Parts: sequence; structure tokens; C-alpha cells
Amino acid sequence: MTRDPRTHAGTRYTDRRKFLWHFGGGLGGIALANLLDADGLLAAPHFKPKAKRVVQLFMSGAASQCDTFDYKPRLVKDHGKQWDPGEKVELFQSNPGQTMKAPWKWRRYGQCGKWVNDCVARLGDCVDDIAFIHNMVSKSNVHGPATFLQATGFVLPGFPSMGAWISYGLGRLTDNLPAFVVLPDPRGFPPNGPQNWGAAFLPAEHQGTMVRPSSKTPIADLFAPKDSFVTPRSDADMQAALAKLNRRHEAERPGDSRLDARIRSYEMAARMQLSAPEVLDLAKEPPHILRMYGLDSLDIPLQMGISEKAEIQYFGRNCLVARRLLERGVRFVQVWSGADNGFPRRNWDSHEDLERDHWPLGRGLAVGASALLKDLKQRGMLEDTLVLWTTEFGRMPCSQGSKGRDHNPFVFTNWLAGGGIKGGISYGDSDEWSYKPADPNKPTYSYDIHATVLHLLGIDHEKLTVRHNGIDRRLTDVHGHLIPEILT
Amino acid sequence: MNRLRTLAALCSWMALAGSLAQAADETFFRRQVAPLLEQHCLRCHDQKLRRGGLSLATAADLAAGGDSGPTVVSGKPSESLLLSMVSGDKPKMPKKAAPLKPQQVAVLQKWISQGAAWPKDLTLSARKEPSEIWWSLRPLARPVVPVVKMTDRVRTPIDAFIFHRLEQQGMKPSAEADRRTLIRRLYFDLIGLPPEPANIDAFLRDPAPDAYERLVDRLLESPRYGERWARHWLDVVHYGDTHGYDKDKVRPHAWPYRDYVIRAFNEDRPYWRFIKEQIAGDVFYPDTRDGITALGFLAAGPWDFVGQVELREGTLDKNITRNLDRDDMVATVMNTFTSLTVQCARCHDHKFDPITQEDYYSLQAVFAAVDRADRPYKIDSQTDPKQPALVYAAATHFAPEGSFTPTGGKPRPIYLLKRGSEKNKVREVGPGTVACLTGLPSRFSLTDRPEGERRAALAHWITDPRNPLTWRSIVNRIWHYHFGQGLVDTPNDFGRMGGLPSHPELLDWLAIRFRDGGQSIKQLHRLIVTSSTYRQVSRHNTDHAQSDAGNRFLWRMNRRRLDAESIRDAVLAVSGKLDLKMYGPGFRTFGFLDDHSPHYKYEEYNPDDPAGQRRSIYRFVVRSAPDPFMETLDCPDPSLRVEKRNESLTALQALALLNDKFMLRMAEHLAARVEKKGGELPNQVAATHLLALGREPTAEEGRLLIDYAHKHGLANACRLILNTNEFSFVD
Repeated sequence: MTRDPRTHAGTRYTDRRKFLWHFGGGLGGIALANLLDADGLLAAPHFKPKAKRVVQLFMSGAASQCDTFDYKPRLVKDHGKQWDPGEKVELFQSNPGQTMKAPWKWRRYGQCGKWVNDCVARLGDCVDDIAFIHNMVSKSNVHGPATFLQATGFVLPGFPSMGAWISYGLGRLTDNLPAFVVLPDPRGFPPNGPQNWGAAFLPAEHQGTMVRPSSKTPIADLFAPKDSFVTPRSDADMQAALAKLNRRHEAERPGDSRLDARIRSYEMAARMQLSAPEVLDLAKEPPHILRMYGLDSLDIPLQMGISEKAEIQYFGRNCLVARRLLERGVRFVQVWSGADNGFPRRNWDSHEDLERDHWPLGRGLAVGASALLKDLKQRGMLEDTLVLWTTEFGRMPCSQGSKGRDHNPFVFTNWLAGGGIKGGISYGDSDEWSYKPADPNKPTYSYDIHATVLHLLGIDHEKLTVRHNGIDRRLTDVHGHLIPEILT
Repeated sequence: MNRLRTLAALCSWMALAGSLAQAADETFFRRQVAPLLEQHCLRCHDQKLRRGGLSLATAADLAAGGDSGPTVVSGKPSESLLLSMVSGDKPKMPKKAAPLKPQQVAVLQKWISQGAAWPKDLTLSARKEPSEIWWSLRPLARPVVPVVKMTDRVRTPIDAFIFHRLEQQGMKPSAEADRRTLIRRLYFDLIGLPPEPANIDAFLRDPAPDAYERLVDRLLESPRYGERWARHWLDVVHYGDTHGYDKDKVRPHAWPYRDYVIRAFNEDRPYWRFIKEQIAGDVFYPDTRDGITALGFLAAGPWDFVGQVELREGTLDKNITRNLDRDDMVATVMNTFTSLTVQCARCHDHKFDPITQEDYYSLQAVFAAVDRADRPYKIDSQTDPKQPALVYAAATHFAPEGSFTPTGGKPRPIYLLKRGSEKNKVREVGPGTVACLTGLPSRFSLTDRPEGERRAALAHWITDPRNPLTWRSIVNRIWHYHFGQGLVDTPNDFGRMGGLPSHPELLDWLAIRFRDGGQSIKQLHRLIVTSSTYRQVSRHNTDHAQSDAGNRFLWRMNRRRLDAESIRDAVLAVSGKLDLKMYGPGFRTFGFLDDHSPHYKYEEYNPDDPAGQRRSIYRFVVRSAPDPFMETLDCPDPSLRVEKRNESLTALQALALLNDKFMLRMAEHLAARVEKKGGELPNQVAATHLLALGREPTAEEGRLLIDYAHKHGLANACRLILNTNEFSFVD
């Protein structure tokens, strides 16, 4: 293929990929990495990585920061008074109401003395492993675009998810499972649906593979339906016969690596059929681990609305499955708490009644996430596993109606733990109401989080690029600053 | 524009006379004065540099003069500084460049003496020498068809260009493929379906010397052709049947646009008309069905329901929503028709191409009055006039919903935004387009004119024969789909970040021939697929691959992996289940639950539902929740403007083709189809193989398949055949 004489950071990589996608037909005797090779785009990381894998816990609907991790005495003091930050406030649905304190108590935890609300008390045990960021700002006040921003780095649809970028950049750690797995809330998809974990313009192999442990078919098309004409025997014989026919076909068409790649994709499919059911078989976990994740029983019924039991079971189960996936070499797991913004409420979008909805959701989050952190730690995996807790934006310090909170894109909280993260710190304060960043000139954006995550994986966020419709696209668009303060 | 201006002046003959004089002056300025200033003066005297304090970009700049005082005294050339600077024995201007020619000075003299008219809103910008201009922006120049040694293989001028390049590289074209290969290639390429055994048989036996050409004609005349090629177009325009984002609501009336595209391809709509219909059909062809349904083009992309309907008027987020909505229209129009990535200039001047923020926002101003909404259109066989047919399209009048209200045709003010932020309005901008094309004015003087004229003006600009981008863009797109790779391998980006043409002369030759030869896309197909270049085998050649592994020089045909729609349609076709019913609302491959955020439940899809056995072009496309089977096969995200599809080979694809209930049911139908004809198992296996792959199995393949079918039944053997590499790849 002709080489474009113009040089550009990333061109070498882009060309290699392009080579494999579009011109696989002409590789001749040149020995080249195959499409199915586990290695990613980057032959060598840009930096020495501190983490190998990531789990992203995504609270759909906008989890409140000022009822969970961002303690503000002023809200307690001014509770019930008309809230007035001294400027015009433009809210999504409502006009600013009264200042509203968290409905539950705050307590201090850990050596760092972090204030954590009772709503997520279980996570108090883990605060010395966590770096909180309290000055997150979103570029949109609307769930769809804001969720995209956290998931893909853009407010518009059509961009690859962070997991897809990481799969693209680093490749797989195992040949038996996909690099990027998504565990949606069993009640449904978050705003934007599966587009949040799409590969967009990256090759389809990097899209998030959905795993639904509660479904009859947790991974779509992993096996032929039981009532079909396919039997295990016919399936196995078919794989053998297919390989023979395909090898014959390939022999007559030398020099086209795609034909070999496709044969190998069937081999990998067969390996996935062996590995995947084992990963999802939670009955193999000892009772004390199941209890840790809040799973008294593995018989978990599906309901549409919110309840404490359901939150603990749904999120706990997904966290446990996430750990099993990470253990077996999955690179990036995205776990969702909460579905769409419909009614009855099934996510964190508590416009109407914060106490009713955030308590059970917070309990579910805290049980599952604390179990995951502790479990990873006791297995020695927290050292090189990065845990990222996020949501699309925050909630206002004032009430909506009398019991709810409206959207707050001006400030919210993220936290990270694990590989390369300095625990027990809070970085980037919000103001006295948890309304805006304390220093309005130094907010933290998802770009900075994404840049930091990539950095910990050994990737320079400015160098992981793909040219699409004339622009060298990256996860961090034209933004993103590493946050050295939260690194070990 | 003259026509519009003239119409406006019909009010009175007095006005008419005055207006015509003014029109003549303005024409003189645009044709003779402006190019001269742009080529010789603006490089230093534009609004950025203002050397000597002088800009010659606008009428106001001219009037303001420079550090040395007034530039022009209207009606008095001899008193005008401009003229004295560029004339005389040793003219002071242009600096560091050849002096103007006497006839050029005379043009300036005439212009000043006639009153130095300068059309309102016209902004000039520097024009470069042709050699300094980026390849895609240079005017089209008719290249000479090269003479080659391999004359016996040259069927069309395309071959001359391709072989010439191969000869320069010391390469040779590959041999011609056999008829069995060619018919399969042509079928999938032109109509997206496999040939039936009877079609293959007839072609193999056809003794006529033009058997191939007649096959091409038959395929181009088939209604299946439009269905195949409309799918390509819908990729580029990112068509979908839902809005996207959160609360991904259905668009029940999107499909009339999809049908329009199929119809336009089948009827071989001249390209200029195809463009005009899609950008301003309501202005050019207001009383036709296609004049309205084609406007679905502008509305094809995603739409933020929450931002548009639920956000309150006057809020910042509302303005951002509208800005991004127009951005999608601008990008879709300009990427699709001109292969320019203008959207890069939303936050700053384009970093690589000569596109300014001012250009960009002038394009937003073109669409400042339209939203995406249902719009009535006339069909001939209208049954109930009270319930008009609707198409989801660009619209200025519609029933309001929440805070989503129509403009009534009054354009919203558009501002140049510093860093693209709605918080930083710099100045209001009128309608226009990019200024980087020689001889094509970039600002539309349409003050107080109906909004549709803005879109009409842009359509005129795009279809102007002097616009080189339009013609290069479309012939490259068509080429891309035939060969799997364009002459320029970035069909949506002809800028500096895009690829360079592998055969620039061929690209221009095709562009000129297309532009001047009736703008028939079918003729272009014919020209390409009847070439010897296209008819080569796809076989490998170790020597050539050493120097050109990517086959940029086309020393062979590219082997193609079938795209998602072709696989699905081919599976339906060979299993005898394909329903060729055309047009109408899309079929759904999901169960649907309307809600605050609607649910699309693909697990509820029933492959035996006859509605779902139509061609994939009629599939209802959900943006937020893509059909998992299709997505796995690289069917693109319908929120992306897709210039070319990704081609990946993954374990999940293997699992989908092995185990998806659609594949399994169709394998059973294929088995039943063959079994119905009777005969022994070996014959049935051979018949299946022929239906699916276009040839009978070899003895060895036959033994293997018969043995397998014997053990596990014909349906399992059908599943095996549909999973072969040979089914998914076309030589």
C-alpha cells in the first residue's frame, strides 16, 4: 500500500489498523499481525502502566453528590430556608426551592476522616483506598448528552465508549472472553441505550459485549436455542467440517489474511462458549463471598421499580460478575446502576422524592461497590485494577417540589480507587453548597478523568487517535489534563 | 441569483430599470473585479492582515480606507489611490509580485468610473495560484486519456488511466475473471443479492459478445438496484427511524425519505436534481412528491428530543441544542455533497483546510429557519385529503410540541461564536458557504428574502458546474462502492486530513464526464463495471503485493466481504423466503414498548414473521438500541455519517451467524426448499451448495457435506454452508 508521505502522530498505528480492516486481501508473504491477535494497537505503552484493567461503575440518572460523598454543613445549617447563591440559576425543570440537607446523617470514616452519608455508609470502610473528586462539571444539563460525555467523551452520539478505546489501544488479556464487557441494570438500558458502549468508528470487535446475568440468554447468540435443530454433537462436528471447508477455500486464495482471521474467529467463538458460562456461574462462589455482595440467594426476581432489596441484589450481582470477568482477563467492565428515566423510577433521577429513591439506590451501590473493592483487595487485584465511580451530573443543593432535587451540571462527584490511585484523599472542592466548584476556574471535566484513566493504563491520551471524517479523534477530544494529585 | 433578483424587481418598471442597472454592475464586479482583487490584493489586504491598515474584503472596508486615506473615489479613477498604486511604470502594488496587466488595470478603472459598486454582504478573500491550491479545490481540468501498451485489454478510458499507472509502476493487470465469478460479483455489487442458479446458467451459456454488458443493463434496470444503492446513500446521510439520544422516540414518518432515495436511484435522477431536491426541493419543486419527501435528507440525523421539547425557551442548553442540531444539517450537506469537513470550523477556523468560522456560521445561517418535523406532501393517489401523507423532513411549519415550536419561516439569528460557545456571541452572520473555491461567491445576498432561498442558493452553489468538489465527490463515492476503496480513500474528506487521490487524472476525467454527460449515476456504473479493470480476478500476486499490498493501483480486483444487509438479504434469498415487496413503513426486528424512554426488545423478534422477510433496506433502524445481529456484522451506528463501513471479523460475528435465531430458521427453510424438490441427499446437498454459493461442490467438498448431512440432517448442513467463508466473501 502506498504510504502517505505526510507524517502524523498516530499515523503508523492508524495505517496498521487500516491495513488490516480494508486491505486484508493483499498481504502476500508479509508476516503481519492478524486481526484476531490479542495485542492492541499500541506495540508498547506510552508509560509504564500502573493498572491493567478497569471497572467503571456508572450511576444512571444522576446520583446526588450532596447526599452521598460531598458533605456541606451549610446545607444542614440553612435547611428549609430559601436557597440563594447570589446569582440567577437556570435549572432543568424547576426554579430553585429551599435549601435541603441530606435526609440522613453524616459520619466520618477511615484514617482520612472522610465524611460519608449513611445512605452509602458501607463505603465508609473503603475511603482510605478512594480518591474523591468533588469539582466535576458537565457540559450538558440533559441526561442523554451528559451520559454520552461521561461514557464517550462527547455530548453527541456517534463516538466510541471509553472501554472501546481501551480495547482498541491495549487489546485483550485473554483469548476466551471479549476485552470490553457491559453489565446493564436488569431493568433496562440507561439514556442513549447501548450507544453508550458502542465502538462507533472503531472496529466492531471493540464494542462492549453485553452480559445480562439475569436473562435466560446472558450473552446473545452464545449458543443455539435449546429447542432448535442444533445439538452439541452437530455443533461440534460442524465446527470441524467448517474449518476444513474454509481452509480449502483459503488455500485457493493465498495472501488474504481475512480468510484466516475469520477461521480463527470461529475458534475463538468456541472458546468463548466454554469460558463464558463458567464466569457467570455464581453458585461456584463460597457463601461468605455471596453474602459480602449482599446475595443471600441467587434466585433474584425482576421488578421494574426501586426497592432496597432489588438494588442490593442487582448491583451486588453485577459487581460480583464484574470481579469474575476481571479475574479471567476482561480488560474493561462497565457496571450500570439504574436504567432509563421512566416511571416508576428505576434510576437515580430523583426529581420527585430523593429520600424514597436515593436511600435504596445508595444502599445497593454501597453494598456492591464496597464488596467489590474489598474483594479485589483481598485477592491482590486492587493494585492493578482501576475502579471508577461516575454519573452523568449531580443534583442541586435546593429542593425541587419539596422532596426532590433537580439536575446540577455545575458540580458533581466522581471517585477512583485501585491501580495507581492515592487513597484517602478528596481533590477539587465544591463550594459551600455543593453547587459549583469552589474554584470556578479549575473545574474537573470527564476529559481529565479519561486522561487519567488512560495514563494509568500506560496510554498518553493525546496519542491514542483514529482519523475519522477528517479529524484525528481521541477519547478526550481536544481537552483533558492528567490529575497528578490523585496518583500514587 | 439574478433570476431571484429580477423577480423581486417586477413590482414596478421603474424599479425594474434601476434594478437591472444595479444587477449589471454587480455582475461586472463579481465576474471581473472581485477575482482580480482576490488574486492580487487580498493576500495582504484581508480582514486578518490589513496591511497598511487596509482591507479590501467588504464594501465597508473599502469605504473605510487605509492608513494612506481613502482608497477609491467613486466615479473618479484618476483621484483613486487604488488605481495609482497599481498603475504607472513601476507600480507600488502588488508588492513582491508581477504588476497587473493593462487590461486588469482597465477593469479597475471601469469599475471605479461606474461608481465602484460592491454587492451588499459580499466578502472577498484571498485567492491563490492554482499550484498553491489544495488538489480538491482546484478547478476541474480535462485530462488527456493516456496511451498504454496493453491496448488489447483496454475497454474503456478507465482502463487506459489504470493501466497507464500500472505500467509506470512496472505492474500488470490481472487476468479477467471467469463468468461464474463475474456474475456473482455483479449481482452483489449492483443489486446486493446472489444470482439464482438459473441466472448463472443463462449467463454461462449466453454466446452473445455483449452478454456481460446486457447483464449489467438488466441489473441496473432491476428495482433491486435502487434498494441496494439507496442503502449506501443512507449510510452517508445517517438515516434512522428513531431520534436517538435519551428518550429515543420513533419517527413514524421517516421512511418516505428512504423510499424517495430508492426511487431516485431506480429512476436514475440526474445528480443535480437529486441534490436540489434534498436541500431545497420545496423551493425548486414545491408541487411534487419528491420535492418534499427528499427534504428528509436534512432531517435524517439524530435529534435531541429532551433538548428540543423539554428544555425551556431562552435557556443556554436550548441554544446549544439548536446549535448542534444545525451543525448536524450543515455537516451532513457539506460532507455528503462536497466532501468538506466544515464542522471542524465550529469552534475555531479549520486547522487544516481553508474554512473559516465565518464560513461555517454562514452555513448554519442557511438552515436557520428549519427544524426537523413531520411535513405533509402530496401523492397522486391521495385517498383522504384530511389525512395528508407525512414525511419527517426539514420544516418551518408544524404543530408545536412542548417548547419545540416552528419558526414559521423566520430565520433564527445566527452568530459567530467564539470557541463555539453559545455564551460568546461575536457577531451576527448571514447565509453563505465556504469561500475557498475559485470564482464561486461565498456569501448569499438574500436580505428579507424567504428562508427557502437560502437553501436554494446553497444548492445552486453545490450544483454549479464550476464547483469541482461536487463532481469529484460523487464519482469517488460511486467508485468506492464498486471497488471497496475510493480513488480517494476518505470519501467524506477531501481536505488535508483526508487521503490523496491514487489516480488524480482519472478522478477528474470521471468528474467532468459525469458533470457534462447528463449526470447519470447509472451511466457511471456502466462505465465502471464494464471496464477491464473491474473484471479482473481478485487473485493474489506476490510480486505486486510487495510494492502495493493495499492494491491502490488496482492490479487486481478487491475481494469483498459482504456487509450486514447483503448477508441478511442473501440468507433470505437462498432460503426462498425473501419478500420483494417494496416501499412503505419499515419492518421491526424488535418488540416495542412505548414509554417515557421507549424500549426496543430484540429478543422478541420472530424470524418467521413474514413482515421481517423483506430486504434489509426496509428495516426499521433504531438509533439508541441497534439491532444486535446487524451491528455485530458491522452495520454502522446510524448516528454516524458513514463514508465507508468498517470490516471486522470477530468471535461475536461467528456466534451470531452460527446461533442467531434468524440464521437457524433460515437454514431450516433452505433445507425445506431443497427437500421439496425431492431427490437423494447427495443431490440435495449439491443443490444447496449451488443456491448458496453459486457453484456445485467439488467431489471432496461433496463427500464432507454429504457425510455431515447424513449424520445431522440437511438443516444442519445448511447452517454449515451459510457459515462458510465463501458465503461471506465475494471474489
